[in-house]
Amino acid sequence: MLAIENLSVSYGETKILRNVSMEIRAGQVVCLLGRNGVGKTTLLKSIMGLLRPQAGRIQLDGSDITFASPDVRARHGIGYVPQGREIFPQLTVLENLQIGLLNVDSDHQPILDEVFGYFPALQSLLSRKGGFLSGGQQQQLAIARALVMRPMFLILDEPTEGIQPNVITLIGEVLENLKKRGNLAILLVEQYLDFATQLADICYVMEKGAIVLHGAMGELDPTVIKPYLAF
Amino acid sequence: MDSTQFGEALSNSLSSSSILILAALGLAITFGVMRVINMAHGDMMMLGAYTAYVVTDRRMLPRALNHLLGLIGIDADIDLNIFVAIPASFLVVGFVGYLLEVCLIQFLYDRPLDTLLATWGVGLIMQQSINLTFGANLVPMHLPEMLQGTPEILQGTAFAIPSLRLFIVGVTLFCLFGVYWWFFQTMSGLKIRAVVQNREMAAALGVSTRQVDSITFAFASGLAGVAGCILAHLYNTKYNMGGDYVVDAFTVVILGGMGQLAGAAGGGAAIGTGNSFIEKLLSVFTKMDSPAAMAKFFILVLVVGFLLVRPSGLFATKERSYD
Repeated sequence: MLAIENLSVSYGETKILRNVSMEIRAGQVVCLLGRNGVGKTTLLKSIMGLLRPQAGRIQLDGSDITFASPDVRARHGIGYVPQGREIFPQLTVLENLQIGLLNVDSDHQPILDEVFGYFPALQSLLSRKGGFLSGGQQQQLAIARALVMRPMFLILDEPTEGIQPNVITLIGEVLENLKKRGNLAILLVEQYLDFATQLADICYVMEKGAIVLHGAMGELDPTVIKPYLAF
Repeated sequence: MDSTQFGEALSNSLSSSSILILAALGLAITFGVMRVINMAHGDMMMLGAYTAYVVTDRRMLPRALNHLLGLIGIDADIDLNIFVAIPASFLVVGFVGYLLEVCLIQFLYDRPLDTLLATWGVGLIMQQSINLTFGANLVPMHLPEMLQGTPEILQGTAFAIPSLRLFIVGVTLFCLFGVYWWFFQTMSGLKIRAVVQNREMAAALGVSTRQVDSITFAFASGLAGVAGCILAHLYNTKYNMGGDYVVDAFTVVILGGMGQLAGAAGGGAAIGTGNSFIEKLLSVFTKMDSPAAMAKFFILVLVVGFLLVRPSGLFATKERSYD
């Protein structure tokens, strides 16, 4: 599904990612762990095309997207739920969802009904401005907005950050459901280890811009991972 | 001030408000919404005025069309007027704006000072190429019969406003509602609002920001073209007329509030009306040599005073508070 080969990314003179390689298959949930500032978000932004790599290749579903613009990647099937949610504050909840639907040709209503099935709270907020939602509501909207695009590959950047426990449980259930469908690949960046271990099949651990550990979630010893997460 | 003088001031205020609103509406989109400082905006108005001249003057486009039709054996007498000139100005100047965005401005986003200098340079090039092609002086436009004079029901009242000026108000309202409809009722307007609020996220959701930028800029330029076309029918058309209006248009946008389309309408109406009435009052009650310049001075003082009290302008945007 998604293959990253030796990706290097810099901000100006500062090299953030060093030779990162990663592979994600359809139906898999891959979790990327690591402390603040090790380059997790940078990696996700590079996959989305918001940052340009200095070296390396990114392939999605067999085609090279290393230099494709973000909108092309989105239309190609990458859904992005960024850190901080990035809801359009002056657009209503419905309009936020409609932006995601712009590139969907099929009938919109069944798709909307499906995401309202996942996040029932959104249905009563449709005419509310995105900026007036609570953090938990915004997070649900951000995930719903990515899902209406019918992505084959979903990127989630710390979806539990600053969210109340019952919404975290809901998001966990939704991701579990999506995983069961089997055709969607998910890349999850998380600091909340319990949430990640429940969902993920594969785990990658980053340190100083490089992958230092990776393997199946069940085979990795939590005591080995923990030191890379301690603050 | 008697009723004739009031009528004159009212009629002046309607047309100058309209021109200010049209000029500022385009600028409210490029400057207020896209944050591009386009110093060539006034020169785009000038291009719109010259497009109107080329389209309507019997010696120019109509003659060429008649000649062409004559070649295929049709003896035509085509006479084009302001009704054709307005869409023509919109399309021609919109296309110039599109070229400007694609060839130059797209490389200068996030570099406001470079954009300022570059577009100023482009404006100078436009001025001189027009000057070289058409010369400095132009004949006034001729108007279709239905826009000459004053409507009968208004004659003799305090509201004796010439037909042309009423028509201009109509065009302005049409453009205002058009822009509102586009921005708030259509899917492409939704894309623009999304790109304005969060460019990266809009792109990550599949919105082609390149396309949105170029089309929005072209449309805003087209509005400048319409403003210029109308100017050409009211005042003299000169190759360097743009400079007179670009500063006013920026003032309107800043008074109205950045990023607010309603600001262009409110600011334009306030400045246009204020200017005309102050000028009339000055000329009636003082024997001043140049009431127009003095009125402009008063308006600037008022605008500066207002902005000191309310720095975000007439219509404050709440958008920033979420950043």
